[in-house]
Amino acid sequence: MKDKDEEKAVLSRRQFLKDAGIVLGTSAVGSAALLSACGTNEITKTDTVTKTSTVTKNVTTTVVEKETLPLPIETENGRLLISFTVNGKKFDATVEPRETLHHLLHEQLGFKSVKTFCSRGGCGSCSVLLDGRPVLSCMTFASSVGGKDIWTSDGIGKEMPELIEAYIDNECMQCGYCTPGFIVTAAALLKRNGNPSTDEIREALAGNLCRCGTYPVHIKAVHEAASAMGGK
Amino acid sequence: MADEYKDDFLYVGKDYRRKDGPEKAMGTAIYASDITLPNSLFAKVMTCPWAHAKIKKMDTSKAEKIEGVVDIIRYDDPRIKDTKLMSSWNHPFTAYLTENVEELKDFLPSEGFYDGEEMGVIIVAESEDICEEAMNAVEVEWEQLPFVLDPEDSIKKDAPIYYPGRETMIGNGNEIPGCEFSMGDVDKAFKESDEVWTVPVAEPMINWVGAEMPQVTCNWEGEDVVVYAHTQQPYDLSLYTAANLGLKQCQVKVITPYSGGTFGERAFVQHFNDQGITYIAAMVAKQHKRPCKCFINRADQFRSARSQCYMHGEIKIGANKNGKINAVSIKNFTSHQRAGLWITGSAYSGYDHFTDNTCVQNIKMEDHCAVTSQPPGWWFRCEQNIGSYNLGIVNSEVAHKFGLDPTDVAILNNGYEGHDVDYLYNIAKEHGLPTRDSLKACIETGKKAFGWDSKFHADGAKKLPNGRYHGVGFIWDHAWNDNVNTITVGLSLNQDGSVNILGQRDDLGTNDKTTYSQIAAECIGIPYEMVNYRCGDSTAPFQLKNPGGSMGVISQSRGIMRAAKKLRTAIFDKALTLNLPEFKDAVVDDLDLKEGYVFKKSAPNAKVHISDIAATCLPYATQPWGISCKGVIMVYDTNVTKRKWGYPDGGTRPRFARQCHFIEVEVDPDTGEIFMTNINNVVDVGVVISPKSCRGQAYGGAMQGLGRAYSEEYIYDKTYGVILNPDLQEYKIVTMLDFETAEAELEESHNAGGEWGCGGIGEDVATLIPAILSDAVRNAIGVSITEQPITPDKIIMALKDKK
Amino acid sequence: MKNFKQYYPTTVDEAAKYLKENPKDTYIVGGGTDVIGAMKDFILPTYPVALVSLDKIPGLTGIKEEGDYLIIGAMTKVEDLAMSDLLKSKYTCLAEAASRTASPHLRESGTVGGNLCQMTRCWYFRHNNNQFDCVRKGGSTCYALTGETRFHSIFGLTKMCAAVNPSDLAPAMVALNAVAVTNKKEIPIEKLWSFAVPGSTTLDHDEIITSFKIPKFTGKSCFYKASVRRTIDFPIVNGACAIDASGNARICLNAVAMTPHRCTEAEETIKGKSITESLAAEAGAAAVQKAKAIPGTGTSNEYKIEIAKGVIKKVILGCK
Repeated sequence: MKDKDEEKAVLSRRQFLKDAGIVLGTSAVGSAALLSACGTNEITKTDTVTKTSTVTKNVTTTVVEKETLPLPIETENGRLLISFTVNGKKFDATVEPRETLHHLLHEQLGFKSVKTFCSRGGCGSCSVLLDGRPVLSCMTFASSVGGKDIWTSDGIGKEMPELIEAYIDNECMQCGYCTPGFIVTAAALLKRNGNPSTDEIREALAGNLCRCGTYPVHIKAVHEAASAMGGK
Repeated sequence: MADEYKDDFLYVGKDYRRKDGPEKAMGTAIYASDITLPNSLFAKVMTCPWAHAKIKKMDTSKAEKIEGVVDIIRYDDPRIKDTKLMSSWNHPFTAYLTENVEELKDFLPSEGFYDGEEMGVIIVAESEDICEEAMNAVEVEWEQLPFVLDPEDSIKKDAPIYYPGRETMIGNGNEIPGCEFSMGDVDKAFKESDEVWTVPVAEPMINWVGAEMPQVTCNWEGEDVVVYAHTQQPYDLSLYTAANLGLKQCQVKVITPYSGGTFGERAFVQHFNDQGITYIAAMVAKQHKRPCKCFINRADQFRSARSQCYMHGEIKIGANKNGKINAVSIKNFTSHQRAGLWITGSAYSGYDHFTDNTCVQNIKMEDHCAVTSQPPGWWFRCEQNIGSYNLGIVNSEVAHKFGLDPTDVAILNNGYEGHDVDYLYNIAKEHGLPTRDSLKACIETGKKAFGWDSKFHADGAKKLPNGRYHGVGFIWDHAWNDNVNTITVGLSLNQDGSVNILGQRDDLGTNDKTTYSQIAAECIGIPYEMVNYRCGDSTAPFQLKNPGGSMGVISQSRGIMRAAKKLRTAIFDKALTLNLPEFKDAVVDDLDLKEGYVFKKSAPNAKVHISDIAATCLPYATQPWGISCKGVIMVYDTNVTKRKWGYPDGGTRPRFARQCHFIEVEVDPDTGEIFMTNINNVVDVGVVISPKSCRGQAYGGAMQGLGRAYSEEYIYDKTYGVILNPDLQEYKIVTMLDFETAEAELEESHNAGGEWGCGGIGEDVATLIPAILSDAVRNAIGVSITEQPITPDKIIMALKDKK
Repeated sequence: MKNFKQYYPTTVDEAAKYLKENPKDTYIVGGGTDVIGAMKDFILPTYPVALVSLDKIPGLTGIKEEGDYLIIGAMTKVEDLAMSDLLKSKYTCLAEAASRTASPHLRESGTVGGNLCQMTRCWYFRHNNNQFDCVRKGGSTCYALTGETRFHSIFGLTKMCAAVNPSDLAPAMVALNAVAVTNKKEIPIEKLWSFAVPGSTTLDHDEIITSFKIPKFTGKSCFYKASVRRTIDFPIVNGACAIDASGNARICLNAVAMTPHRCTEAEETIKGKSITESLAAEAGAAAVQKAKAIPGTGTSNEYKIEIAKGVIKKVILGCK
C-alpha cells in the first residue's frame, strides 16, 4: 500500500530545488531536510540550536522545526513515546530506554537496510542520516530521535537514483551487506558537497568498513554520481 | 596483445549490470540476520571466559527472575543429557581428511578449552537485549585450568595435555600429525650455495570478520524444520542438522538468503557457530512451539572461531648470487584447534608453493601442528596462506640479499617440481593447452602499469620530502586454477525459451548471478537476458558442493558447459520432432543454436526462435515442463599432501597460470607508520568473464591480504590466555584511508583450469598478498621484517636495532 | 543492554539535579558513543541505573570567538570542529585533532565534552562482562602489568593503573591552554584529569562541562596522531604543539599516560630558538627522558617512547 505521505515525500530533486526556501508541509519535512543542504559546504546548524517549545501530548500534530527539540513522553512500563520521520514518512513509536536506533528501525519498523556489522560504532554499516548527519544507529539511543528526520538507504535511493546507479555501475557491492551504509554516507557527503574531490570522498567514507574490499570503486562511483547530479 | 586463443565470445568478457546490484545498493537485499519471524524467541549460548576452565558451580536464579526470560538450558539439564554434535568424521566429504579425529563434540559441556568456546548455559528470551542481560546475570564459579597458546610450547613434555590417552595422536598427545616433505638433498645444496641464511617467519591468527554475524532462525512446519542461516554450505548444514535432531535430511530445509561476507569461514558447518546454533534454534523452537533465532554477538564471534591459525617458524634459504634458489628448508609450528572439528593447516602447510611453482630442486619441510587454547577455525581466503607466504618471503629475501630486482628472481626460479618453465609448458603442449609463459606476461604487464623500472631502487635509498622512506614491493605465485570441487548444475528451459541455472547456492558476493548467466548464455547460445541464476535452498535439485566459493567459476563453468551441451541436444531433438520446414532432413548434428535461434548450419538464415520450440514442451503428465539437464563434474584428488589438480577429463595437471603484484609504500621512520600509496594487481585469470567483477575480486583480495600484513591480528593476554581485541575497533581491518589507489590488470592465458581456461581471482590475491608488504618495507627502510603483521612497533624496533 | 532510567533534562541545572538525586551509577550522556559501547559490553563494575542526556539542553553547541576567547559548546559535535573554517585557519591543531578522531560517523555523534571525558580504552578495563576487576574498577590488580602493554603508559602509573587517556582532542586543548567551563566552576584544562583520581576526570559527580574557553590564539599550531591504521583508531601516541605570536610554546602528548602529558622539557628546549629539524628532534628526545616502558608479557610498549619522540618532532616542525 502506498502511503500518501510517502508519495508526497518523494519530491524530485529538481522540483525541490525550484521550490527551495519554501516551507513544506510536515509530511514532506524529511525530503526537505535531505535535500536542503545541497550545494553548500557550510555546517551552520549547530551554532544556533535553541529550544522554543516542548512537545504537547498530541505528538501527531507536532511540527518539526529546527528550533524544536521534542522530549520523549513516558508511557507505561518506563517506555518512551517518540515521534519522528523516516524517509519522509511520520512515525510514532514507543521504545525502551535501552533500545538503540538500529533496533527501532530494523526490528520494530522493519527498515532492513540498516545493517549491523560491529554494533559498537566501528564500521558504518548501520549508518542513517539523522537531521542530515550520517550517524551510527547502533550507537544512538532510540529515545533521543524524537522530532528528528531520519533517512535510510532505501529512502535515499529513491531520492538520489543517480547515486544508486553509479554504485551498481561500478559494482561497489560484493556481498552487499555494508553497501547501504556507504550509500547513506555518500549521500551525506554529496548533499554537503556537490563536487567532492577524491580525498574528500576517501575522508567521508573512511568510517565505512567493507570486508570484501570494494573501497577503490566507491571513489569512482561517488565522482560519477556527483557529476550525474550536476555537481550541485 | 594478440591472443591466439581468443574465442569469439558473444556474452563472455562483457560487463553486464550486476543482477544483485539494485537490491544491494538500496539495502533491500535480505540476509539471514535480517530475518526475525513474528513471535520469535531469541537464544544465546554462554562462552568460556578463560583459556581453559571448568564450571564448579553455576547459579542461574538471578537470570531466571528477569522479565522476558523464557527458558534456561544448563549444562546439567536432563533435556540435553548425552547430546553430542556431529563431528567431521561423520561427514562424507571430509572424512578422508580426518582419520585422526573421531570424537563427537559434547553439545553443552561444563569445561571450555579456549576463551570463547560455547558451553555452560543457553538463555532463551523474548529479545536479544534480555538474553544479554540474563547471560550477564548468570553467576559462575570457575576452576581455571592450565592452558597453552603457542604450538611450540604445546608439543613440549610438560605442556598441559588436552586429550589424555589419545592413541591416535603423536608426541605428548597435543600434536597432530603435520606434514613432512623432502625433495632432493637440502644439506648438499646448502653447502653448494653462495649464501645460506635463516629468516624467522610468523603469521598472526586472524579472523574472517564477515560483515554479517552468524545467526540462525529455525521454524517448524509440522515435523519438518526450516532453517534460515548465514552459511556457505546450505546442503551440509541440512545434513548436520538432520543428524543432530534425529531427522531425515529430507525433513530439513536450509534457506540462505544473501550472505554478508563468507570467505570460506562460513563453510565451517562443523563449528558450533553453524551446527551448534542451528541445533539450539531448532530445539528451542520445537520445545516452545515458536520460531527461534540463535545469535552470536561480535565479541563471541571473534572469540569462538578464528579463521587462520597462528604460525611461526623459520626458513633456511640457500641461494646463489644470481638469485637462483638452491634449497629451502622450512620449519613451521602451527597452532591448532581441538579435534572433533576438521583439521586445517597442517595438510596445507609450507612447501607446496615451491613444488608447484618453482624449479627449486631441494626442499625440506617440517611442520609441527599442535592443539592449543586458541579457537578452532576454518579458512579465510584461503588455507594455503602459509605456503604462499613462505614462497613470497623467500623470493623477497633472495632479491634483497643480493641486491637483485625481485621480478628477476621470480622469473629465474619459476618452474614446476624442480624443473624450469620449459618443462612446465611442454606438459601444456602435450595436452594441447596454451603454452604462453604466464609469469613473464604478468610481470611485463605489471611493470608497465606500475612504472616499476623507474620506481625500483636500492633498499633504503629513497627518502621523500615528507620525511618518509619510499619503498616498492613485488610478489608472485600461481593463480588459483585448481579444480577441487564436485559440483552438479542443472539447466532448465522455460516455456518462453529462457533458462534457469539450478542448484542450491548462497550468495558470496562474487557476482556469480551475473557471471554464471553469462557463461550459460555463451554455452547454450541464447542471449544473456534469457538466463538467470536464482537462489536455491538446500532442497534444490542440484548440489553445488562449494557454491560460488573457491574457484567457483572453474568448476561451475565446466558444469554449466556440460549441462548446456545436453540441453542443446535436447532442444535440437525437440526441434526435429516439430517437422518444421527450416529443419527438413536434418539430424541433431546439423543444427546449431546462437543468439536464441536454432538453425541448420548449412542454412543459417532459416532460423527458428528457441521460444517457439520451448513452447511446445507442454506440461502434460507425460512430458516434463521444459527440458532440464544436469551437468556433473567430479574431479578432485584425495591425496592432499601431494596435490595436483585434475584435467577436465581426468588425470592430474600442474598449474600453468601465474599472478604478481606491485605495491608502493611510504614508511615514516619517526612513527613506524606505513602509508600504502599504490597497488597494482596483475592476475592471469585465464579468461575474463565479467571484467568489472574480475577487477573487484582483485582489489578485494588485495585489501584483505594487506590487512593481514598490516594491521590484523588477534591479541592475547599470555597470562590468562584470553583475547583482548574481540571487536572491530581493536581488531583492525583495512579502511578506505589505508591506501590511496588500487588498479588491477587482467591477463588472459586461457590456461587456468575452467571452461575456456578461466580461473579464480579473489581468494588467491588475498592469500599471497601479505608477503608483499615485507618486501616493500624492506625496500623502504632496508630492514627485514618477516613476522607479520608489520605494525608500527615492529618497524620502530627494527629501525632501533639497525642503529 | 540492561534497562535503565533515561532523563532528558532541558536545562543544565535540571541535569545536575538528576545527577545529585542519583549519586551513584548515573552517567552523563553526550553523543553516547562511549557509554553505549560500555553498556553493551557490560564493562562497568555496576550497571548504570540512570543516564542523564544533555541532548535536549539548548545552548550547549556552537563555535564562536567572543571577546578574548574562542568558545566551543561542550555538546558541539567533533565533526563540526573538524569542518570549522575558523578552527582550520586559527586553531589548526584542534581542527586537525578533530579530523583524526575516531571515524567520520562517530565524530558526527560524538561531542567535544564527551571526547575529553571518555573512559580509557585499556583492554583489561574494557573486557566484556567486567571480567577483570582492575584497579580502575576498585580492584587491586593492574592486569596490564603482567599482560599486553603495547598501548599502555610510558609515563608512570596512576595508583598502579597503566591505562592511558585516549582522547585526540585533549592534547590540542592543552596546547591551546583551554579552560573547561562547568556548571560549578572554570577548570584549567590540565586540571580536568589527575593522577590522583582514578576516574576519567576530576569532575564532581554532578558537575557538567558546558563549554570550553580558549584564549584567542594567533600563532601556529599543529597536531599529529600516530596510529596503526588511518581511521577508526585510537592513537598509539598523539600530540599537539602551539606556538603563540610571542614565541611561547605549549606542547602536549597523549595516550602516553593516564592524563595528557604536558612536555615542558620540550617547550624549554625550543624556547627562543628558531625551529630546525635537529632542534625539533632534540626537543623530542628531551620530552621522553623520563619515559619508561612497561614490558609486560606481550609486545612491550618500548616502541611508544620512540614514537613519542617522533610525534614531538613532527608537531614542532608543523609550527614552523
